[in-house]
Amino acid sequence: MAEDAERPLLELGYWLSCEEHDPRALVRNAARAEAAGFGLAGISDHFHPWVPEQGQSPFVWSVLGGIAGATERLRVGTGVTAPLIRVHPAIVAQAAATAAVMLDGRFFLGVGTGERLNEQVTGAHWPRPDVRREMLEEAVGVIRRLWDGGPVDHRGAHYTVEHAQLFTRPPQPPPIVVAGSSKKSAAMAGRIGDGFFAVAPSARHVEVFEGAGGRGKPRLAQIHVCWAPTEDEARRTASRWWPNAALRGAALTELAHPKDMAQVLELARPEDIVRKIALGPDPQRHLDLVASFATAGFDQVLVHQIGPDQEGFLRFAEQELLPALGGR
Amino acid sequence: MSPRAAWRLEQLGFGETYNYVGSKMDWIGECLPFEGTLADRPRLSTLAETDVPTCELHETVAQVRGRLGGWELALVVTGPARVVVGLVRAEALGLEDARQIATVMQEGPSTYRPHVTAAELSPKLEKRPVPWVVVTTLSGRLLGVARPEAVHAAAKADRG
Repeated sequence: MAEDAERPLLELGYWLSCEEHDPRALVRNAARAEAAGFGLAGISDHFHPWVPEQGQSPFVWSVLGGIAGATERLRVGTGVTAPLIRVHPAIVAQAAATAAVMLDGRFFLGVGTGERLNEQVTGAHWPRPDVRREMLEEAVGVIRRLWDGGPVDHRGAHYTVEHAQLFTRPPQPPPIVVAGSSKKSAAMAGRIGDGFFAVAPSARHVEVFEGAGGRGKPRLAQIHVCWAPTEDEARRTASRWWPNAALRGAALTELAHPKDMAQVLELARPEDIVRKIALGPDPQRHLDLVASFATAGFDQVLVHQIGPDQEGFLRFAEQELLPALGGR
Repeated sequence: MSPRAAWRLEQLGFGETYNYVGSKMDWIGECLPFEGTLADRPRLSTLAETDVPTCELHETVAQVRGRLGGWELALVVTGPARVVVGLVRAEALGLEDARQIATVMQEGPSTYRPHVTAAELSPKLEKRPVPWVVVTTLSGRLLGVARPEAVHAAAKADRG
């Protein structure tokens, strides 16, 4: 998140996909993105990849420690952490406070209501979306109280915290960006968040976020692209590494294991996978996808390059995308 | 009822009698002066900020970027006679210089008429929050943009 007064109208960021890259590659890619001119990055927080083919899913908090040591200016945040079931909000508060200290003011905590794919691994019940929203609201309150530094005792509808106090804390608590893919969650983001995070270019959701208290706060979006020397190659790479782009709604949030996703995806048509992905070497395609989000009101657009060729994309971004947007 | 009233006034001997076909709301909606017991209630006609930066469809991002100044709300895209056709978010003005406004415009924004009172609008905005309220005359001409917080404050003052 950009928090300074000189915030640009629109900023392009880089996405670190934990689902596809091993932790050492993620740290290298973060450093390379900073060198290419990116000032902002997001990193996924998963227990599993979406599909087995993606092959990775390191623990995000360890990777952030590596990124903190390998970068100097890059602002990094999770996109997004679900502080609900797999990890208790008190532990997320501690992990995020440590990351904020390690990154020295360059960290933001992205939070959302999660997916069963990642959150059911402890065997706990996977609640319905409205309950998860309630849980997230309570969890954010717990996290903020712990960041304030005092001893916290909390007995809420979903969480209990007793005699808890964080001793490693940054001078300023990091911003909390709340993810939303519905009007209800966008309104909650406006009410409790320091920013909004989305994956669809919905102007209405941005309006709801702003109207509910989010005006003037950052609005982050993740987009998916696949740069490759040819469009055909990009299409093949995207279809192999990110078939989950074909899924929507409950198919993303209710399945338990990557192999379940893969089975459902056997029914997907190739055109469903690449429909919303900017493919190939033409910068205009990539900029048009960015423009659809800027038009809707997103001011920080994080670009996820699908597949192994991160270096090819970073060169392309350095030479074509960032200069077209005034070096932002 | 105004045709009947006009006819009756003529019968009573008033020489110059006009029937304003567009109705009283149309008159107020064009921001024309009116009197009466409800004339002093806060309405969008007075709550809207009128010094709103605008742009046109054929212009480019580079041409209009400088108009934002300190304005933190959206630019209003207008056509002939300042008729509102859309909005452009500030974020879109961070795109490439040569990109046309027509490609980054949010089409068909909700608009409100100037006769709407703060007391009427405030609960609607509570139910369906928006970051700004575009105010146009009945003919679609841009009058200005009102901030929701100004509407809520005026409604509260109106209630006493």
